[in-house]
Formats: sequence, structure tokens, C-alpha cells
Amino acid sequence: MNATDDIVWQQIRQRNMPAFESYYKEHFKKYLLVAYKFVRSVPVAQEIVNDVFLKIWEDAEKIMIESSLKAYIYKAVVNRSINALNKQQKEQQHQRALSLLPEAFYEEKQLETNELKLQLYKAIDNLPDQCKRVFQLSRFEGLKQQEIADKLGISIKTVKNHITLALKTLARHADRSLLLFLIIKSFL
Amino acid sequence: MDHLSNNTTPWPLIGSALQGDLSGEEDVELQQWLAADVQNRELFRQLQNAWNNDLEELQAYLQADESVAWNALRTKMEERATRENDGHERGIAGAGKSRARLIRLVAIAALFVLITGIVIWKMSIDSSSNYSTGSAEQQSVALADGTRINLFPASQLEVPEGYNKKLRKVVLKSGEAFFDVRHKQIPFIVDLGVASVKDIGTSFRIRKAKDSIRVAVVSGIVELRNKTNNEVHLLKAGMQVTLLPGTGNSSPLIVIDSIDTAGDNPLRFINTPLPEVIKRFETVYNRKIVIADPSIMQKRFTGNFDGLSFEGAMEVLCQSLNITFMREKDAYYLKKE
Repeated sequence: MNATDDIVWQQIRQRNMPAFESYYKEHFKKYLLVAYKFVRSVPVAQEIVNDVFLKIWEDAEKIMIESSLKAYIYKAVVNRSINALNKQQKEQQHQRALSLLPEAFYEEKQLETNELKLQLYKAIDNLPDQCKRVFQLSRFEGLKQQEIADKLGISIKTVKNHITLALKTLARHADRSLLLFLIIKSFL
Repeated sequence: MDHLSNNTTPWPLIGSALQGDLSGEEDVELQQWLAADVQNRELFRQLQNAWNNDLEELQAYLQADESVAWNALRTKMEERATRENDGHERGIAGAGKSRARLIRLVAIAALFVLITGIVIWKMSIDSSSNYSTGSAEQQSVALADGTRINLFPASQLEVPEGYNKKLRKVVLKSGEAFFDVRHKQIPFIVDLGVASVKDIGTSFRIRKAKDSIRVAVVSGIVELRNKTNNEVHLLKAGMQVTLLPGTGNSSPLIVIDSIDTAGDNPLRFINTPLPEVIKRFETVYNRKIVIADPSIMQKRFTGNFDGLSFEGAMEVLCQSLNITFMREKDAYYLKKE
């Protein structure tokens, strides 16, 4: 376990609620995304993450963490998410998870991919409100640039500027993802 | 990364291409750009990959809120702790253990309740802002996004933690308030318990009494949602709705009509021109008031002076409209601040 993880884990075992809260709030979205990948529902994913954290708080004294707190929570969230699926979905997920890489290695890489994705989402969330909205309308609602301009009552030039800013953010992320992809590939 | 500082990268064109929405002419333009440099092709491939594969969970990320989730977790933890505690107490009663042990456990329970109370109290202090006014008091609340709320006498309002982040929601617990909402992409919502009001860039006022809710729209459009059956009513400027919650299984009664600007209360104003406000002040308070600066003639006021002294009402009026007053002999003179 790394030093920071170790300190946090000791604090949780000592029933340090502020430390627990701060760790939870810092990492909540990361684990939410893990659960969401399986269950495709934010409230259900939140429930799964909360159940894992509740268990950690209640059973901290009994839990033995072998690798890292992060990996332990990740694995617990994945297990609970799979349990929440029906039988057929469970089988598919299991096969998908084991198809390419050894389990521990797969988990590690999934965590890294997840971290990168989290950074991208944070960067998009930090874009100016209107830029974020333009990007969402373009990516998720499939609106053309002129349609976005009409819907938001802004000029097409402004829409293009927002698209440029958002795509630059995406490009920065794509660069880092490529690096990770090359690292993973070099292990295979 | 060169592309990020390169002004010739056709980002909007790439955006259209990622959506699969290129005209013939644009397609030619894109193909020319792709053919010009291997780095261009690599950038486009990376973006295509990110666009198609890495954004699936973005909406979930934007929708989730760690503070809301944390509060849900705390509630669960407290429920579990309470249940555990109840279980202990029942066990003791059944077993008929010694009185000393019972007292000890009761003391622990009391301590637990005290600590839980302190935690809940602290959470409520940390997590949200509460505003309340006395029976002859008004308060102006300025929110982080520029929205302004005038809280009228004997009213309670809560602004939950995280306001203006993922959600712009306030809770009018009781009383009356006027909302001047700064329009943003995130809708502004007033939670009223049995109903909610969502703005579409507007100003409106709400009175929540024990047995009724009244919403009057001054400008723009608001959406009133009846939570019991999810029925939605759109209200335009000049309209008002009165909602009388049903009893038992009966639906609430909803009456929509036009605003009665003053009703039977001469000190209630909705978007009323300043000269009209002054005229009513003079009648009710029996004082002479002069508008000394023509530039403030166009100002309009929305508010309720019910229960306020003349000086209190003048202060509220001046603060709301950014004007000032001075007294000379028996008359009051109003001018720009």
C-alpha cells in the first residue's frame, strides 16, 4: 500500500470520520464510474459505491488489505456491480474481464484507464458552462452546429469556438490514452 | 500536441466529421487536410477513438454529486447505528440484566443520540445555508450565480450545499419570497414540498402557506410541477397559480388566473412603477414623498411591506432599487444612490 493510502486506511480504522468523508468525496466519482460501466444507472451505481464504503467503515477492524486500498475498493465495487446484474449479464461481464489479460493485471490497467477517463471528465466539467453545453448537445444529442446555435441563441462562430475548445481538451486526453495503450501493448 | 497551438487545425470541421455530418464540400476539405500530413491523420484517428469510446460515462459523471451521495451514505450509517442500538436495548430488557448495566447502556445510548444530534446539526450548518425572517423583517439573499431572492416577513428558505454546481435548487420551507433568477444552462428550481417551480429565465414570487401555495410570474416563463402526479403547468408573465394540496388521495386543486397586482393589501407590489408605490406609501403612512431625481421614475418594485414601519419600508424600498432618501422638514426626497 502506498504511504497516503496507508495513512488514510489507518485513520479509517481509528474511526476518523472527517478522514473517511474526505477520502470518500475525493474518490467517489472514480468508483461510481466503475459501477456505472456495469449497471448503467447513476442511482444504482451510487448505491453500490455507498454499500462498499459502508462495509469498509463498519468492518474496518476485520478487513485485511493486501495490495492497496484503491484496488480493494475497486474489486469490491466490481463484485457488487456484477452481483447486481442478472445471470446472463454476469456471464458476459466475467468473460469480458478475463478474455485478454490476467485478472490482477487487468484490474490494474482498468484502474489506470479509469483514472485517465476521470481526468478527461474533470477537464470537460471545468470548461465554461456554455462550452460544456455545446459539447454535450453535439456529442450526446447529435445536434449540428447550426442547430446548436439556434437552440442556444448564439452565433455559429461562438459554437465553432466552443467546439474547438472542447476538442482540444479531448485531444490532450487522447494523447495520454495513446501513451497508456502503448504501455499496455508492450506488456503483451 | 503541436495541433493544440496550430491555428490551421480545422477543429469545427473535425467536430462535424466526428458527428458524421459533413457536406460534400466539407468532406473534400477534410480529406485534403488529412492527406497533407501523417500527424493530421493520427490526430483525427485519436479524436475519433476518444469521441466514440471514452465519452460513454461522461453524462453519468456530470450527473453524479459526491456531496449528495455522501449525505445518503451518512443517513444509511445513522440508520444502521440506530437499529443496532435498538437491538441492544431490546436484548437487555429480555434478558433482565442488572440495573447497573442498563443504566450504563442507557447512558451510552444518550451519548450516541447527543453525538448524532451534534453531527446532524453540524452537517446542516456545513452543508446548507438557511435564511429566515422575523414577523416584521425582510431579507435580500444574493446567490453565487447572480440570482436575487427577497425573503418577505415570517419566511424560511434553504439553499442546499452544492448550489450552482450541478444543480440550482432552493427550498422555500414557508412564507413568501420573490425570485429574480439569472438565466443559466442549469435550471433554477424552487422546491415547495408538494410541488416544484422551475424557471426558464425569469422573475417570480411564491407564497407558501400551510394550506396553499401561490406562484405569481412577473417576467419570463416558469414551469410548475405538481409532484403528486407529475403534472406540469407553464406560466407566463402576468399569470399566477394557486395550488391547494389535496387531502388523502384527492389531487391538489390548481387554479390559474392573471395576477391581481395589489389584491386587498395596498402595501403589496408586483413589478409596480415607483410613482405608484410612492402614491400608496403616502396614503397608508400619511407622509409626503417627492421623487427628486427623474432618472429613477422608471424603476419598478416587487415586494410586500405588510407589517413594516414607514422607516423600515423606506429602507427596504431604497435598498431594493439602489436609491436613497433624505428628509427635509416634513417631506422625504428620493434620489439615485
